[in-house]
Amino acid sequence: MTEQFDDSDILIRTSKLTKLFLASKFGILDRLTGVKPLYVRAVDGVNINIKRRSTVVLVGESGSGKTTMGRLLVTIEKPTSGEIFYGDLPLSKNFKAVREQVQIVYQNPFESLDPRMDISAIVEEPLLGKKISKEERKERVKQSLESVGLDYSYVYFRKAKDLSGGQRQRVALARAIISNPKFIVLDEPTSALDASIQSQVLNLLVDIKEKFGYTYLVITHNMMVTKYIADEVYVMYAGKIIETGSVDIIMKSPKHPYTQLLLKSIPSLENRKLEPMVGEPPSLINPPSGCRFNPRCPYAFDRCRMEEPELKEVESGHWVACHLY
Amino acid sequence: MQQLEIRDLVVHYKVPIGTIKTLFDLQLDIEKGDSIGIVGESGSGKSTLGLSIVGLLPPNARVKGHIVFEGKDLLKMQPGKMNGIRGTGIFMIMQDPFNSLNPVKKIKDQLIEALQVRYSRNGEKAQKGKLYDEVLKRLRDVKLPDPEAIMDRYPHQLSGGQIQRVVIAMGLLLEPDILIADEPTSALDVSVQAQIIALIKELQDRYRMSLLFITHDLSIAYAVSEKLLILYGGRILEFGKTEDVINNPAHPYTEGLLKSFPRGNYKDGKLYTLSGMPPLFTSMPDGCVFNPRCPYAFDRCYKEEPELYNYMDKKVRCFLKHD
Repeated sequence: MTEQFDDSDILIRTSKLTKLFLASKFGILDRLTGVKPLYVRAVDGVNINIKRRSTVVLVGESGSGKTTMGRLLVTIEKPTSGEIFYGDLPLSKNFKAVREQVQIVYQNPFESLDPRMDISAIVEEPLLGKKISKEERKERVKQSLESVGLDYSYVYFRKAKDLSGGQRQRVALARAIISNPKFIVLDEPTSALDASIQSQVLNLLVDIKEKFGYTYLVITHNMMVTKYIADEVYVMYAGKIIETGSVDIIMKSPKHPYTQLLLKSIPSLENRKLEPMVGEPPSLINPPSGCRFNPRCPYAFDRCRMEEPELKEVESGHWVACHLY
Repeated sequence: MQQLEIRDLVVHYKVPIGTIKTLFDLQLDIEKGDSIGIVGESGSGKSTLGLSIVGLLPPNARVKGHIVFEGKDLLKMQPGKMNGIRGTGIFMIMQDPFNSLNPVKKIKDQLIEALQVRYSRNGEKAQKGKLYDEVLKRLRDVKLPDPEAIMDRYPHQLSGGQIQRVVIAMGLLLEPDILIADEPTSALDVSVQAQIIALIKELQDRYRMSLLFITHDLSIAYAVSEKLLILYGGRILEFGKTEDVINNPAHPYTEGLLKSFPRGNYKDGKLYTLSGMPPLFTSMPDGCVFNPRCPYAFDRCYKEEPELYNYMDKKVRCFLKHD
């Protein structure tokens, strides 16, 4: 089974992936009285393709479902409907094999690591429960820490609380790569770090990806990071993918009004004049009818309020969900 | 007009193992209507600077120097007198906004109280209904959804982003002469962040409020401020017009920081990195604080500490920019 996971060019593919969360408690009384449960449509019918050894960046505001998407792909969340294919096999057919090949690194290394645990114990944890001898485990902890640029003799007996933010994020990365995963989700990997450390971590991410052949899904709202690390970009809004294409296309000629506005509202060293977007992200319990962006869209017309646009290929490799195209 | 003058400011913290020097020889003039971005990494002393201006440093802090606001030295003032300046004179939006609100009072009551402080200091009176409407309008300005409901809630019923916006609204209601904002948008979403920045700038223009915007993010400071102050290891390393500092950085630290920002794609090559880490206050290097990471460091940098020299239209703490 794992072999099939190795073969195809597309590593991960999702088909109409949907995740609903209950918006409020739904007990037996509600069920008996026939009340309809309220759901938050966090991820709503998303299709994405992730090529082997590529970096896909998911951008969007908080509440757009991008973190849920990442958690679904590393099997922390179970989809409500739809399917995820790893290689050619659906997740339900080879759950155990997939689990061993996916990892996630969280945004804030001050929260994702136990401050009082030894670094070597933190990094070793994914190997526990596997039939690996103590000596081999120790050797792999050492290799893993060294691949992320930490000095083993300096850190192995220290605790997370003794390390700086950049060092902690390296430890989190060492923990993620120790089990030789194929696919790593990085949720805002640099945003909790100091400016002069961010570039060190970005370089490291690219280095180890090229060395070990990882495939990344990076979740971020930092456009400079996106531009640097991405091969392909998916823009998410209110649980839907609204635009996707190569990093060049999305950064230089975005077509969806939301993507255009998003790029203008994010501060960067190339963009001093911010143009804030009007309005609020929509409720995911009761999303607007038609296009979900229509209440905030400067170009919205009648059709946008009635009919939901499909993701269409408007030019080679550039997909947009908008009635304007 | 000079509104705030900071002279020879030094801040130490007394801790069990000795004293930690966090701010060193800090000089800063704030003119009316200025917007100054204060940029530094964690542990650069940027929050300490804000707290020492509003006089809210923790009890183990020892402060020397002068902070002169409207002819009065705030550091020599009786502790109680400072209450008359905090709020309408100088207001600070704290980095951790949860502690800025009273947990047992409704949002409505806290904001109306703030507004009453402004009215009574200006010697005006206002009806309760008018106060309520003005508060409501400000909550709308900071893009809080459903402000009427929020008015009737207690702080623990709000999310971090909502609390941050309530505190920003409070700061704007007070219309202070100087607004100090310490990472005010860190808990907010990117699109809301742009809205809040635009709002702060608009109000700053309208009331000629001075703004000290403390952030770790150079790109936000670039969008907000007219002048930029780069703090590192408790010292000002560079100070000048924002456009000038970003486009022609003079200090090797600023230069390295700007060079390390990603601009292209990874396929175009590796990012420039500043080696090493920011210094800790417990183990400051001798000489220039930046010397362990500086690519141009020479003998003198390890022996003596450079002063803040005038260089072109900027101030720079580097021997290379001084003859």
